[in-house]
Amino acid sequence: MSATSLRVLTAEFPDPQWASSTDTIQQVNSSISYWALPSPAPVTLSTTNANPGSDLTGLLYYPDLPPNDACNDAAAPYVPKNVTRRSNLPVAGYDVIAVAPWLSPDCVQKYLRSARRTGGRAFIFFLPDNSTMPVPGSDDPTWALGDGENWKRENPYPVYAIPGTTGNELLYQSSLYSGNVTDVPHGQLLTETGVDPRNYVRLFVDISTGGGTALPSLWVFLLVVLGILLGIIGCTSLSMHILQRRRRIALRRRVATGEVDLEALGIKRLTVPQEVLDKMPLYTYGSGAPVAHPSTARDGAATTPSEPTTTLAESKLSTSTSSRPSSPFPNIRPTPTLIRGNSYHPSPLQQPTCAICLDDFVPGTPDSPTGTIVRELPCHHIFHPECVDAFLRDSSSLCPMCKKSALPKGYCPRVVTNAMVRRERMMRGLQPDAAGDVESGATAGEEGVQTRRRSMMMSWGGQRRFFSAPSQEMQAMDAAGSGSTTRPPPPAATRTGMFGTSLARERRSVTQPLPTQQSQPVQPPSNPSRREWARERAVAMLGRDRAPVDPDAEEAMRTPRWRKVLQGVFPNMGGGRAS
Amino acid sequence: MASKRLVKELQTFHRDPSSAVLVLEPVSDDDLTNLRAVLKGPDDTAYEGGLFNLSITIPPNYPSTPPSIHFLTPCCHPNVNFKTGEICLDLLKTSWTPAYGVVSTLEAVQQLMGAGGEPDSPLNIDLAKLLRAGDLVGAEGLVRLMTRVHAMGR
Repeated sequence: MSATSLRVLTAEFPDPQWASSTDTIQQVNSSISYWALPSPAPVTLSTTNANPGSDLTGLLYYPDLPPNDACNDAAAPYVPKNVTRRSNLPVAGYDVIAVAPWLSPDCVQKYLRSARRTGGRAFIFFLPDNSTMPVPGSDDPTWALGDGENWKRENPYPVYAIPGTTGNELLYQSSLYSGNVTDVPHGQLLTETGVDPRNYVRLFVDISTGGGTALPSLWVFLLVVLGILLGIIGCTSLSMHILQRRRRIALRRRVATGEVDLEALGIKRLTVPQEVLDKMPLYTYGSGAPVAHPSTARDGAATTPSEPTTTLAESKLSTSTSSRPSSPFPNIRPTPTLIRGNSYHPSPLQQPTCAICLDDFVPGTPDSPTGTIVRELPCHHIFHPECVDAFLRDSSSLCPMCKKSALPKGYCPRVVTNAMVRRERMMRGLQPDAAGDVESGATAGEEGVQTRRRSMMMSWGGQRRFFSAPSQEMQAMDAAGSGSTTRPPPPAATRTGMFGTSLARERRSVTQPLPTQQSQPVQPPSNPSRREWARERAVAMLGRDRAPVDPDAEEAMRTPRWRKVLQGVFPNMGGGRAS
Repeated sequence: MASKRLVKELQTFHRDPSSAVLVLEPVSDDDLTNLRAVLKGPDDTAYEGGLFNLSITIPPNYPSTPPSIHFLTPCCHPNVNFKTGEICLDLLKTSWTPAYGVVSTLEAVQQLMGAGGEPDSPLNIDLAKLLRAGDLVGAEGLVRLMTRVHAMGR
């Protein structure tokens, strides 16, 4: 920005008024003309409109002041009579640079104004002291004009300062080169060497403003390469983002239509929002009296059909639903036909204990509903609301007992991340048959979905994870699941076996529960056999499907930062990672 | 809720002991969140006859989150870190549900020992290497030796 050197030379050029090409400034042979490279570099007073890297060039001239101005007298000792004035230069077509002595602030302002009017490209001042000493710096009070630096802003050209002798020399030489070609020094010689006599021969100034940002060609080349690379990366990233966005939308749609179960597939750990929790039926244990949502509670009751039992409770229940095994008396046991084929659901009285806090539910009666208030999940498992609400809201959306999702079908989390898309695609890649089934099998029943889910879980777990249960048991479960798709998966509550239970016995226990099992749930809490049953049930559940901890958090924890950045730029990358 | 449920679990355990878990008790009487357990090496395995000490730490929001269980006695198993006692078991991490308890989790650990483990996600690399190379005799010998050295006669 600041000037690094000042070069003065003599140039000859045609008048643009009659010359066809105006831009033909040619240096006059330096042996027969003036040229100079004043040694102390000019001091930069103002950089307005000075472009770094590009030199300021122009024809030197002295800006005239109004004829009767007092400053003319003050400037007279420094300004020769026939100095090059604006009128000695072509009206247009060439840049001009003014030079003048730094007199009083008032005169300087007048010079600046004059240069502004005459289209000066820059202004060179010199101190009227005829000294060879370098001029003071730009912040020196010498250069104060008493208007708060305003002059630097309002003049549309940069201003430089040079020592007095240099300035005097410039003005003197300028006075020599102000007339016709024949009048300038060696004018005769010039015309003989072919300079058109009609041309101008004037002083030409070249102020170099430093090459701070003038880039060497190698750097330009590197920058261009870098730019191209950045462009390619940007385009790739953009297209990947667009593709990934499409996949996210597609996954969201498939989740919404129920084709993909995010949590069961281990794609995303979901939790149940409070408003969904509030919609789950809440009723008094044993009486079936709904507390919050009558319709859903009755709906839940209707799916557990049983032979009508003639009890006081039944007669007082609503007549629309056939019955519910809601005997208030613990010693009346439900009939064995309670569980039928693939429409099995554990009825409330088969779940005497909250699996979370291990407290027994207290049955209430329709007459005096003082029993425990229980929350029933869509899978018909019941818990204390205070126990299960916190778990579903904070930890997982899967039922603690059977790991069925408690979320409504088609519930989709607000944010579908790229990682979820990647895992879902990976799951489909691992199990193409199952994926095809899932995509085409919208009409498939619940059992089929369960079976497929299990087999997918198996294959995934087999690749990456470790089973908590002995492998034989898992294989048995897998064989059972995939062998007969019409058979529902054995519900936890009726699975009698520890590990190694034969499949046949398991099946029998599903379709035709043992009478002792049916009676056990309503045993008094002190009975040890019921606890044994509960414990066995819990142990039997160890081999069930795994519910993953939130894979997003797990993956975020295991991914190094550079990889996260890379995945942010190229969202499709890293698909080969299993988890 | 955590301590209430723990008391229940401990009462149930005392009334109705498990065949796998020989001892389950709090380390100190006034702190229920740090338990000590002694696990019996499963029969008909290389761990037979070994008695393994475990430390159990109960998180404050138990049973929503699983207890953390570590072997105190060095246990030579592909999915157990021999030095720190860390156990790689999905039940302790991902597939936990509140329906499990401390005792059933310990039983699952015993079943993990009995099942031979998964050498593809090992915490004990030496043993996993033997297993993956197919040297079942060598692996069983190593386990038997380590069980004898660390888990017997104390």
